[in-house]
Amino acid sequence: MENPASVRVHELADYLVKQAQAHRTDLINQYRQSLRNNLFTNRTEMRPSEIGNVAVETADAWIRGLSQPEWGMEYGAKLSGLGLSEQTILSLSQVTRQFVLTVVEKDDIRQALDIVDAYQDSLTLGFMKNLEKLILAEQERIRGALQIAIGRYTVEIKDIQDMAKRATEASEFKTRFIARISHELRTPLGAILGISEMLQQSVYGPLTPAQMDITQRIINNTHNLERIFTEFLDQSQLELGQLHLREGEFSPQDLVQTVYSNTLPLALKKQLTMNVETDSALPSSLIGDRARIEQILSNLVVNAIKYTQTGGIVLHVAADGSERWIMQVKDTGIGISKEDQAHIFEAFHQVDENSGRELGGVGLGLAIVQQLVAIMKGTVSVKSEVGQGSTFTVNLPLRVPTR
Amino acid sequence: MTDTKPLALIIEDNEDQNLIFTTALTQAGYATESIRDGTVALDRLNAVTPTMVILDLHVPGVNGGVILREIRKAPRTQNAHVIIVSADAEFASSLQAQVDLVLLKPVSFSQLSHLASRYIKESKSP
Repeated sequence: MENPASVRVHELADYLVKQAQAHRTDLINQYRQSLRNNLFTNRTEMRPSEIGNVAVETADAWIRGLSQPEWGMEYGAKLSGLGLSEQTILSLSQVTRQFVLTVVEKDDIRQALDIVDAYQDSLTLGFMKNLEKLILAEQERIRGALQIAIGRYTVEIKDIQDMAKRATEASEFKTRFIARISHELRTPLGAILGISEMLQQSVYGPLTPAQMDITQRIINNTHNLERIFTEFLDQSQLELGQLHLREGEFSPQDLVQTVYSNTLPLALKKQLTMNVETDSALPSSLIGDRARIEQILSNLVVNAIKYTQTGGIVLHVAADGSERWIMQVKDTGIGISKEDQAHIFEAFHQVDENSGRELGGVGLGLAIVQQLVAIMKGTVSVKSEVGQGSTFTVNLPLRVPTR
Repeated sequence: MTDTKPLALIIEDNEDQNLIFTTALTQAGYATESIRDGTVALDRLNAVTPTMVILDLHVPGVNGGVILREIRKAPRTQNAHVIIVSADAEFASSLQAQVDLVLLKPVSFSQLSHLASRYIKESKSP
């Protein structure tokens, strides 16, 4: 081997390349062996048969790469494209380095090291650049996939939102429709009621007892119808959150008395007893929506009468400490099973479909009670056993007028 | 007591309701005038002096709230008794302070007749 005394780096590179080209076959075989020794033992990703190809290519690469470092970059990129790890490429370049140094005379080692280092650097750079490209491409692919997924997801969310919106609109439409219809129905109802009353009051001449009786039946039925429409209207307003309380001063004792007087005829008709118990600790003046509280108590009492065949009803009002008061309706009626107790406050629910039909009502009474009590920040509960009667308790905040 | 009956205006567009209210007021002792349109109501309020107005809030032409404002503005009519008869609880209750009574429809004939007789006694014996 010719000894180049003192040459510059690029001349040394040319020399190395020439040396390598001259002894290409020998070098490749030697290099292949080096690779086998250094890589095969600990690189599972590379099969022994591949080592040969890699060796030929790598030998060519370093032969060309020593004089043209940019080719090292190309080769590094190629290796990373083959799926070889950074670790393997580093090992490859280490082997190459050692191998190159074995063919260089010792005086030139320092310069040869610089050349090999430049080659190694460009090899690693190529690998990194390609990897970066791969990573960027992968990122781009993921971003694209994400965008598609987000697009799809957005469409789905929009679909769901549209569906929810349509459902809400439909429900609101139903509620508004009921509100409007119950409102519209009141006008002819008012006419029927007024005209029947005029007949009854002999505005159009005296009536015979039979005519009087039949007129009274028209009036009674009109009142029933009116009650049903009022319940529909109340329920729809409660659903829309449009039922507003009109609060003022009232006497709970008077209120109980009113409900008692209004419902007594119903109880007497079924030969039931009816009693009122008032607690002396309950103030005689409270703040609240009297009409709505009366409606709550009245609904409970009418219900109690409806489901009681023998015995009677007790209306009980009392203070519950200094901040709450209660209205209680106890009956000796058919009672309510535990399963039914879970549903009785639901709108349109009736304990027994058959008895409900027989006893009348649309199944809104208790639902309205519960919703009214809720907007008054109170509670309503029931204690009952089948055959043992029921006790409904309404618990409301107690507020007294400030003097 | 004079022979001239006090005048009641019944402002209600529904013919049947108007008949019922008019009959109730007549029975109570009022001379009555049925009006079924808001614009007509405003015209008549400029011409006659009612002591009682039965007022529906939803009438064609001009709504009951405007009619009520006019009644309360004119010195000649501002002391008239006004009873609102309406199915619109929200609207009616917003006007409650300016009227004698709010009756929610359906209004009972006998109740209205009974109430009207009480007001007529008041207006006959000041």
